Amino acid sequence: MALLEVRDLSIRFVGHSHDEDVQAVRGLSFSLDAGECVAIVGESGSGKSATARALVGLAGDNALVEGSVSLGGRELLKLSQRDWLGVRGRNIGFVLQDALVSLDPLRKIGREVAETIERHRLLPRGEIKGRVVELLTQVGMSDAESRLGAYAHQLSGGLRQRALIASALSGDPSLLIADEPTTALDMVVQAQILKLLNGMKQAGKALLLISHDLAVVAELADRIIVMRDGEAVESGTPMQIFSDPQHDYTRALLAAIPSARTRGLSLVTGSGGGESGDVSLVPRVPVLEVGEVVRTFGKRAAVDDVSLTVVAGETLGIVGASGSGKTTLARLIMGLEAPDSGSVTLKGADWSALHERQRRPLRHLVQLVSQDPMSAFDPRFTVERILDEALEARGFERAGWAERRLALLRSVGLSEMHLGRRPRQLSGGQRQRVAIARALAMEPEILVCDEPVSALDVSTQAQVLDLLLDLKRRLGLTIVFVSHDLGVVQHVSDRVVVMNEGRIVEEGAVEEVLASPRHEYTRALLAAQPRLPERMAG
Amino acid sequence: MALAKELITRLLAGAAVLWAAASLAFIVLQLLPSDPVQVIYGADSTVTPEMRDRIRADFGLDQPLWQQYAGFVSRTVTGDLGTSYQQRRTVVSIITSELGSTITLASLAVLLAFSMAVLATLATAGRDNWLRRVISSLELVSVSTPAFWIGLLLLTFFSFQWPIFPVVGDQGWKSLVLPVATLGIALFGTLSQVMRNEMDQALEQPFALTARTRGLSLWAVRWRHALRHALIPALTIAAETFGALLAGAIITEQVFGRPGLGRITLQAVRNQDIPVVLGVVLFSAFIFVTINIIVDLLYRVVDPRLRARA
Repeated sequence: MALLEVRDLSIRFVGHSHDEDVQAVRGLSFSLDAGECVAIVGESGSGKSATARALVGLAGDNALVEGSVSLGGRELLKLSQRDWLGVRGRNIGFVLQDALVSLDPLRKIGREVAETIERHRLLPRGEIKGRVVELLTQVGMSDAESRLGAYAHQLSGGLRQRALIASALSGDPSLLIADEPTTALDMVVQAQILKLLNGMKQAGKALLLISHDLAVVAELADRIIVMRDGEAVESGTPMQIFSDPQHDYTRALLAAIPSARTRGLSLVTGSGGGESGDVSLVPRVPVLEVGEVVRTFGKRAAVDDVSLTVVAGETLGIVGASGSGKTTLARLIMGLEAPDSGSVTLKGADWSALHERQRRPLRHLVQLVSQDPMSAFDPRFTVERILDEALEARGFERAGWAERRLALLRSVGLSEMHLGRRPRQLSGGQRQRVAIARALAMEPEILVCDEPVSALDVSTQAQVLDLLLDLKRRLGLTIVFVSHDLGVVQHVSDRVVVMNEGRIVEEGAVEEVLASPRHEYTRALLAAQPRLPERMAG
Repeated sequence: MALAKELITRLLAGAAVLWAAASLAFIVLQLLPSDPVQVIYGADSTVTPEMRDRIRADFGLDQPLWQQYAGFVSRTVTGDLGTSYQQRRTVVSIITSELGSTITLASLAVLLAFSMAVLATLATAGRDNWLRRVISSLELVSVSTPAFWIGLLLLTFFSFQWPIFPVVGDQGWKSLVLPVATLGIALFGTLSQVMRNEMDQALEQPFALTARTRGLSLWAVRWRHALRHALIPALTIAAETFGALLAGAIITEQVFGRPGLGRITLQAVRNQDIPVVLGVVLFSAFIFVTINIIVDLLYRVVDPRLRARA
């Protein structure tokens, strides 16, 4: 019998009335042994997180959990609340995504990691500190002793996630559940964390990995379960899943992973999305020029002597890790940030040098699509009002607004039924579509997309990327696409610049730069990209 | 280093507030249609012109206005708030003699409200049950009932109906119970509402889930994690209220016939005893400035993220 046996697990969230009940998981069965990793993959709402939480008895007060979950021969679903407390942390360790909010921001890292040990009285008081240092060192935190007193916000994303993993390991549990452990991280750090989790697996932990991204789990998982609408649609080894997917949904998930191979193809349908508009044939008219721009914050140069040219009709990818200065560069291009030295010109005329009053009439030319549309909207505004605000700013006659609104919504794949919704009532993908529609309402020539898909799961990301490329073709937009995800940049961009520590370390056509990277940092980025079994085989 | 710089800025700003408060009070009191000499001697007595001149000279009222103002400011800086027109005592001694009583009352009231709010929050945050509904209703009653009414009710039951506590006056701890309860109950509602709101939010955060996956009970998550998050707004409200109570628990002190700053303020205003009124205004401003600086420092103790930002 395996360490963890899940049989016929069903989770039902009970609403106020029968109609509001949600069947989150239906008849899920799998087993997991020590030293093994099972990955559950699916989009948001597939029931993967509910499953993870049900395994530690925290699916919520309104969750009806049925079936059987046995850990080391002990049936967990029949445990009393009191007995659960003894299991959590001690037998099962849990790692959530985004350690900035998953660690208590008001408590020191050392105390957070020690909490499980204190709670289960695993060590005498005097030995706890030593053990915490040992744990932090074990998860690859150098200089652990001096970091005991640090708070989550004082650590980098990678170190935070390591501390969170150390805290999950501190009770020496036999089973580790990681729910999207790398989602908030950039690619290089993600690769490090995956390596760390792999080490835990080698050391004999049973690892249950939850992710929306097949590519992330490919190297780590021994078996992958693909979930959709609460049901496992397919399961198998990574090799089976990647080389011979049986279910349409699995195939769609695989096709949705953007990479160099998917360039010019639709990520949703997998087919060619019409004429890809070869940029080399278009006359190269520079529409935006950044010349030797420097922008410092305090003593640190966020953007350090950066020059680049964006040609009309192309997509320029800007790729780099977090803190590499790519967002500051995007803000400089938007004219939201003034350079300390150097200049930005738009269509051959001054842009960064303009007074804000002179710039305002031109602002519509450069529009932004940001990472988190939830915070880019007034939560009380309806979609209608969000769009009207843009139409008014652009100076359209009120009489034509209704027609334009509809045209905009249709162009981003939404319809008039969305007009009355508020941001909270939209899905992540729909919100990003509204953000794009709002940008288009201004009739821009350049769309600056700052991590526009990094908050979305892979299948939604595929739809939004398809939409952006489709709009680019139809409207002849120029796109500046900022991302930490090399796969996404490879998929969308014609040219790419690689940024590291405020400088451009490499620049050129996507195929050239990524096929034969010259700079060490580009090579490190490429190495951090998750490898798919199919490609390993071929 | 950053802390020292911040502290100096705050102290300078505090001094500016005090100066502004003093000047404003001085100007307003000049505009009042009252004759200080009458106030000093009482409205009934007749005063000869010679005596009037002497009194005016004694209190410096014969000087031009700007000199009076300059004298007032320079004396204030040295801690001399002048002499009461009526009591012939220094304002400082009047305030300090009444201060102890008020500080005791205000501290105990805030302490009581704070303890009740912490207990109520710990018992109800992140839950949806009958206890929460009961406590929420009590908070609502507390918020919407004026303090003096609570005081009268308490007196009716615990002094007249059942003579457990004295009706008025200052007779040791027994006479403190009802006034402290009055103010404590009045303050409890707001404090508890704000704390629970904050704690509810904290319990929704992923770190609360993480804490539970370590084997902590819901109670322990509230006590060890969420409570600290709720302290930040609670601190703001408790400090504001403490300041307000020091400067004027007027009505409550009147209802219970207690000595205190509230009573002397009321007397001074009624009698147009300008130096005392000015003194109380300055003292209140001083209390608020001090409390604000202390609270800002306490925020940093509670929330480490604020330390980095300064």
